[in-house]
Amino acid sequence: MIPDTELRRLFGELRRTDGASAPSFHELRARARASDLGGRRNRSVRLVAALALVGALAVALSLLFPPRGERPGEVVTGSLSLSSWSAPMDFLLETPGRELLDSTPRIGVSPLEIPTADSSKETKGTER
Amino acid sequence: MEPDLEGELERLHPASFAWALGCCRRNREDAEEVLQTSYLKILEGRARFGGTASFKTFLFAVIRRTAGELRRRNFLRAYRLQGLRALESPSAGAANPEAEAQVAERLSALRAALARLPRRQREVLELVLSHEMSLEEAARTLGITVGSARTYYERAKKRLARMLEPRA
Repeated sequence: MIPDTELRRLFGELRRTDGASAPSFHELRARARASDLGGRRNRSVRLVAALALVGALAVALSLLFPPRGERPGEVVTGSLSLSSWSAPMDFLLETPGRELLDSTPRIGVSPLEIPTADSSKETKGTER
Repeated sequence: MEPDLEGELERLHPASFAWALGCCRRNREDAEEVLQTSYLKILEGRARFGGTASFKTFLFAVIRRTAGELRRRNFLRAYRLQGLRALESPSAGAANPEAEAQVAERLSALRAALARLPRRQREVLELVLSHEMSLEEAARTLGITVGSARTYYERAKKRLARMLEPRA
């Protein structure tokens, strides 16, 4: 078994050897600064590229699918269809002989021949 | 930028590099990258020294965390793992070439043995034996309890001693 002191001596030697082969502190600092500047530049370029991509995507999407509020034709069509809407069972109100209810009955005239505005003139003519 | 902080970093620079090498499986290129990123983190205030531990403990913890981040990044970019660079030998004056060759041989055996240890065991051993930290400081650097650090230390020492023993 190797004694502790021998191990410590060996490790001390290892540290000295490794430490002696270390690059200069100032050189390493300068390299760190340079790589940091390069890294920052790369990061900003990547950020700008990402923003441009997102912008282009947004423009493409807005062109493909315009927002609903910006389609005037569709709004007008919608309001028109609402005003002309009628209930599906409306035809049941169209009863036979409904015109009898829309006119005033007269004495001496058959209710089945109630004259309209045009036909009353004709009737008067024939009576004469 | 605080001048004290920079001075302290410069003072600890050789030890920091040795620790970074240990954290990067002795890959010099990675160790340099880890060290420069760690310095940036500290000098720009992204890693703040709270003053609860010694500055060395704080710095070594930052280096270790940065090495972990690099390891994960390298794992994702597996091609970067190719071609580990051989550690450059220091060009100190060779007073006794024979003795120096012996030391170099023992050191390379130590490096090989360290590489075969589990990471946590290796880290505790390096902090305590190489960087002269106490077990408490080592535990703080690694973010583990003192009890765990002690267990790792004892196991690592036994395994390393067994690996370094000359075979009969």
